[in-house]
Amino acid sequence: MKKINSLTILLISIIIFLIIVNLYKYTNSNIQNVKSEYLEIQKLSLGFTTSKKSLYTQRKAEQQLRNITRQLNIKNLSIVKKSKKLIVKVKKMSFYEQDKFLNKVLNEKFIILKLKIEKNELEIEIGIK
Amino acid sequence: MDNKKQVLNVLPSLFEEFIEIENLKFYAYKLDTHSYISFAYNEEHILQSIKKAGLQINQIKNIYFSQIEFYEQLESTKQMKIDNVSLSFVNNIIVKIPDNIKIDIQNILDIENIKLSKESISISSNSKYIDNRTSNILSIFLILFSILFLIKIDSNYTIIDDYENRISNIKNVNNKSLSNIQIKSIIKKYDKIYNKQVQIRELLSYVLNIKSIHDVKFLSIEMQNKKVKVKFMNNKIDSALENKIRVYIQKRYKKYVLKTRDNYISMEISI
Repeated sequence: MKKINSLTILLISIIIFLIIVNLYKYTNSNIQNVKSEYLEIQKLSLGFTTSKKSLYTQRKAEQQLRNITRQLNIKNLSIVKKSKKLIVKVKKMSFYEQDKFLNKVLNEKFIILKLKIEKNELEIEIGIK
Repeated sequence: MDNKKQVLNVLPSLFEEFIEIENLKFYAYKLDTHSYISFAYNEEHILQSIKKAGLQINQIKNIYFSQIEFYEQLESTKQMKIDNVSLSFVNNIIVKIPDNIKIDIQNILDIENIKLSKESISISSNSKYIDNRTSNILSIFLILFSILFLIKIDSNYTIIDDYENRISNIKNVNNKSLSNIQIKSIIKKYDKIYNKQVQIRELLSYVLNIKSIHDVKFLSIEMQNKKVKVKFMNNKIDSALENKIRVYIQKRYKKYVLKTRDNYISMEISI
């Protein structure tokens, strides 16, 4: 049987070793890339969720408006949907009720596009996301 | 001496008294508890002999020493002929009888039928740079390290898969169809709306606070496009009240218009 030269074996071992070391470096750099991508996506996701929650959706806005009117016992409320906004009108409202209603609305996450208070009427345009 | 390693360590100093030991390697064979046959050999000479015999070095697996292989036979017969070479046993050392000395030796050993011992060396053409033993040890180390790195690579791929799964889960939770750029754009849009809403609320709150400071009654409030218009009245509308309100507004807002009418004050503030 022909004997394999030990130097040949050593050379093959060195080549295999170098290939494997390079592959190891490549996977290490891949880990760094995928990790930074993950951190960026995680940060984006957190920002996305926070941003989404910082303002009410149409459904949530309507629900919250009805809750406020129920709490303040306001009867003459009308909500009209118009393209990307809700037009809220309350008629025959006392000054005290207007004040209370406005305070509540300003403390919620509505997108207030327009506000008009005159005499005993109140009109608010709320934007929809 | 108890072991072969100790013997090999002292051999160069023993030989250098008689011969030049540069380029020589040494070998020790244990005969009994405290007795060794030791000798020096030159690999280059062996390689030349192989070459002269018309053989390639890679055809030779091991090289055996006649001093060891024929020791037992010659110890009993004292003289022997192998392949037309006459050997004799003198003081426990096998010596070659010169060809010009004619001795009739009946004891002829057929070299083909010799059972070889385990005592051998292996040499290669690169032996002068690195010997086989070192080369093999290095190869083994490299292969072991390669295996360790392979294990680490496998573990790295597991980590990469884990991160990719986490990324995919986050994308599923949010919206698969949205790219990072689209998400960034949505966040920017929402943040802009949110900041505007905060500014509007601050302005309204500041304006409405006039009521508690100066005891005024609001007639109307209008807010649109970052602009607030208010009309309010007081029992006594005069320049002093107007000035007080002006000072109050100026503390926070620069863009404003304040007008005093007969029975009310109108004010327009922009962010």
